[in-house]
Amino acid sequence: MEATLAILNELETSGLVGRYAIGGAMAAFFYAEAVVTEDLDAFVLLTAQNTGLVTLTPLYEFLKQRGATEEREHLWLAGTLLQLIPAYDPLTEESVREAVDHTVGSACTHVMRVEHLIAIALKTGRAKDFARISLLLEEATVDAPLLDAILQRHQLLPRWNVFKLRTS
Amino acid sequence: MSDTAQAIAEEIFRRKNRARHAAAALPIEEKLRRLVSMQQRANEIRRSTGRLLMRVWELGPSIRST
Repeated sequence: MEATLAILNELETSGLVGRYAIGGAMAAFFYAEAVVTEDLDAFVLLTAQNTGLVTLTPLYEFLKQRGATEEREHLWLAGTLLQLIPAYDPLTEESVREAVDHTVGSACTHVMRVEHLIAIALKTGRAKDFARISLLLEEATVDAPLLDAILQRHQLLPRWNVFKLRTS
Repeated sequence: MSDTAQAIAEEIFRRKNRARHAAAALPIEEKLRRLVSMQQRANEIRRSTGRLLMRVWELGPSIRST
């Protein structure tokens, strides 16, 4: 895990990605109790190549040079199953840009804010995402005005209202 | 349900709630150690039911010893 984070930091320093941030279940660990997960989601802000083409291939090559092996849609990298996900919309881009720094063992890393995790889970909308929202709302310290602003900025308030109705 | 049974149940739920909040407040390194333990237990179940095994994370020396 520590080695994986060190390599992700190297990936960022190399300039192949603008920034990366941990999202998904692993990011939720920083705010709530641990639940079982298999992979580490790392969202990346991709830098467009000269061709204007956006691709993960140079990132995979960089990581393979550091020992990563492909396993289905994942990479096994220094003892962690890693899922690289390009920031794919304004919400995930903002989440990566505004991620906060945390230390894990001897490694420093960027972790999405809990308010962004909630917004992404709401937008993704699978049963496990709604379960994660409930867990975070119960166990994490959520900045309500910040969450509200994020939901408003990304047109998620109608979904939020439906979620609240379902869970009230 | 009798008042006594209800009081017992409510106390159990309160304790569970406290335990979950305590688990949420643990350091990230301890949560990762718990994750590895959960991955190992999940694999015992997967193995016994013939399912594909989950990759168990390797944490690194500082996390293992924190």
